[in-house]
Amino acid sequence: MSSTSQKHKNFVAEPMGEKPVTDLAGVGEVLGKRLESAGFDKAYVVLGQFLVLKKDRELFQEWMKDTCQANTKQSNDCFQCLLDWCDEFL
Amino acid sequence: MSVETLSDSELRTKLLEYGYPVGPVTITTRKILIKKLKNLMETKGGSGSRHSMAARFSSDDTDDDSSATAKKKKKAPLNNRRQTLANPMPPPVSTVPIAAPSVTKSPSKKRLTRNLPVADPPVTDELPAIPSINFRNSPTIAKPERSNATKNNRSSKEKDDLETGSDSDAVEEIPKKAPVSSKINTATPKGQNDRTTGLTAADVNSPKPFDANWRRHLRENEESSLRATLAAKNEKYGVHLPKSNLPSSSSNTNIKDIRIKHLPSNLKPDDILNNYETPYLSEFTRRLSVQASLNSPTLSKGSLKASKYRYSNYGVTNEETESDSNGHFRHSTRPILPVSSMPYVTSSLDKSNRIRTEQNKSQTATMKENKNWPLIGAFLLVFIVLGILYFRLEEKSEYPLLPADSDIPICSMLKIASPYPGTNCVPEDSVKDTLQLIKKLHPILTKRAIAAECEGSKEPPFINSHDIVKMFLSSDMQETKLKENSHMAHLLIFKNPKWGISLVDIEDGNLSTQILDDMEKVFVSRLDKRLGLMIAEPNLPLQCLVRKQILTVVSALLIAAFGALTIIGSLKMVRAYIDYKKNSERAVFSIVGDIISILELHHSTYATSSPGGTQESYLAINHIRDNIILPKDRKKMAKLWDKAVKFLDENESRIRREVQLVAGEELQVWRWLGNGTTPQSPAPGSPKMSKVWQGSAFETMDGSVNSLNCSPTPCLKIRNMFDADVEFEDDWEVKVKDAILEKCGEGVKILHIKVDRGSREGCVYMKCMSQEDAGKAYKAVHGCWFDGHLVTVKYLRLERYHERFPESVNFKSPLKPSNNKRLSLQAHYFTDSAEAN
Repeated sequence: MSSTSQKHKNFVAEPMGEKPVTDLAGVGEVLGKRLESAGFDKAYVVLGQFLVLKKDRELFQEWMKDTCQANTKQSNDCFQCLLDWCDEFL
Repeated sequence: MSVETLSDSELRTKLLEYGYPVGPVTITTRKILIKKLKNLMETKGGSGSRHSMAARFSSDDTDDDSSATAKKKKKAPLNNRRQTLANPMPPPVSTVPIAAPSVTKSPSKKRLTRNLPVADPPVTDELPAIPSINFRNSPTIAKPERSNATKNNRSSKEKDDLETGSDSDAVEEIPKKAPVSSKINTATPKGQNDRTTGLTAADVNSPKPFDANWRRHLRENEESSLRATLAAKNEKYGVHLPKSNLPSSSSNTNIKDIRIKHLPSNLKPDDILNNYETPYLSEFTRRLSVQASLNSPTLSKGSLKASKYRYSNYGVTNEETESDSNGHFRHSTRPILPVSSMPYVTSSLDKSNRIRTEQNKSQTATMKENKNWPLIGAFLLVFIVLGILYFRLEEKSEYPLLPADSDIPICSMLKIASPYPGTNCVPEDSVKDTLQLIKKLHPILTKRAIAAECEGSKEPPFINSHDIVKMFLSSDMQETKLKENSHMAHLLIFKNPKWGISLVDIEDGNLSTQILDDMEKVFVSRLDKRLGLMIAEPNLPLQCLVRKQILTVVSALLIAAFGALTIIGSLKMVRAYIDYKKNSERAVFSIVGDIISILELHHSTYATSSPGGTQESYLAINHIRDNIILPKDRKKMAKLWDKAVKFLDENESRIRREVQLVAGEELQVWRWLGNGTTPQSPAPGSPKMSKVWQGSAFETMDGSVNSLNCSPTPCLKIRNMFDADVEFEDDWEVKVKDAILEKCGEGVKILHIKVDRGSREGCVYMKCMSQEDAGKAYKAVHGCWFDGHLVTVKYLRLERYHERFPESVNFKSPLKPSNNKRLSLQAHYFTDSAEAN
């Protein structure tokens, strides 16, 4: 990771608490909406999925793509974000 | 097999089999995992996952070792689907009634059937078949078989046999052994029969392709299970596993296998049918049997043989059907000893399985090909195009002469009233010779034509009869015959224009030959010895063609360029001439104007200053000329001067040319006759004076009530700049614009001015670059008198302005007055200076 976005830094900086899903790096308004409609309204729900997929990058990205049509960059950002968060807080 | 239909746990199991670290299968993860599984199945062989699988299974098996049957169960969980689909699996110990009838006692046989979960539902239908399979295994079977669930034997080496991927193995043993095992076999059939049935059914029904990977996995699984079972057995029987390993078996891996099942202990009666053997097992079995001399020596032998047979084809008559717990079925059919009674069934089964596997393989192959089809298509296309090109070239280069459908009038066949050989027909016997001759001539003609066309050789491109005779005269060809043939050839060539050969009339070796289109002319010119053959349009070699093409193109270009140059040149000349004319005309008029003004001036000064008549009221023409034209230009301007003089003579009524004595010399003089009005009011009548600024009516400087502190917009509307009814000059609009620009001065950047010609109020709209500019312009113009009108200015909103003059948006550079004369300001300055003075 050469550089991370401000959003990424913000998310990884603190426990996620009740943060909405859109606080995840790589998840903007559109993806957020899609995720919410799929039941992933909070960041921790996505984290759950992330953990259930055993932090597997490939699977998680695939899942992101399936659930909210995320592109590779978005899903990668999100994955990295959650991974870093886990490294920090889990 | 449709991955989608797998249950969650099955899915997980499958993925584990591929060594994929899989998490929980949930609603949300299921889809992805299915995809992953498909991917794995497609791309990766399961090779990577083998070890983990083996480990996993082995552990499972060991746990269950206590009962041999239990092991099988263990495997079952792995293949949930299979098991569920298959007939209910009785614990290995339990004997299935169905199997029993089918199996006669086969003392000699031992069956190691490993029943693994049977996947396909159709099993039930197939049950009847099962017995038969079992039978075949035991040639001597007269009695109900027993199935032993105890062991799963799998030979890891048997990959080849695993094609179908079925797990269940049915090992047939040699009849010899039968007696020994018969005791055992007598036991009632057990649940294993069911399994076998299930397996067979599965085999029959399993349409799905099995990957080699799967097979490998299966193998591994079995190995591990075998180990487990071995361990268990050893405990029971006190056999040492290590001993059981046969060094001799090259095929076997290091695994120490065990032969498990045949033992009476496990099975009471039914073992025979259902013994499971892995290849390893077979080897080990032998050992075991030797060492322990257990109840089933036959079994061990059988298994041994089976294994050998698999690898080395010793001709042993063992048949093995193997079914994996994973739900893959494999049958391996081997040559069966005459002893074995039921080989046919199995063999047929095996065959069908093989066919299926082959089909599967081919399917996968075609699928792979499908992926590449665009590439392949492109290749094909390229080759096809190349081929077409090649054939075209071929066709072209093909000898065009004498196609089959040549028109050859043969005298005997032609129904012509008067057949004259050589005139309108060819005698049959000379046709061949003639054609031969033409064939020989053609390349020569072609060569000559090409030489003449491309290499510019002096050799004429044609051949006349004389040349032909000279060329082909030889011992076997007399001159007369040749001549005759050449005459025939002429006729044929004339009749067949498609050969590309033309008959030409040669005029004393002149190259400009005339192609003969009439047989009559041919005869005439032949008589005159002027007839020749040539190829008018030979197939030129590529190099020559290219050269010719380039030449034509270049020459065409040259001609075109020359033509274009001439046209452009003439146009330029015309234009220059017109310009010159205009210039000279203008010069003439300027001279005329000067002359008139001089005469006028002279006349007025004469009238005012010397009313007494002391000064002549005429001027010598030469003097005027010398006044107007500088000495150095006089020669050059002589022509223009003459023209001007001529023009004045012809067109100027106010000037009269006469001869007067000037200073004692007779000279041509011009006398100004004038008109009545000119002398009186020369200056005020000038129209230029009408469009001038005439001073301001009120104060517009800063702070004045008449001007805003800051300009709200960059656009202004100026009223009373003109009176549309009175304006008659062509350029009054320009003058108005100039007046505004000049009044505002250079410091104000005005982008756009529009004179509203139709307005009664004399409105002019203008747009400045900035609001400050507009403010300055406002102050400069507002409240001024212009041409007798009081000019007032108002601000306009920019949007409104753009709406009204959309084109003004594009004006970005400041406007300049059309001239530098500041005509509109003259009066102003004059008044200013007057006031100042």
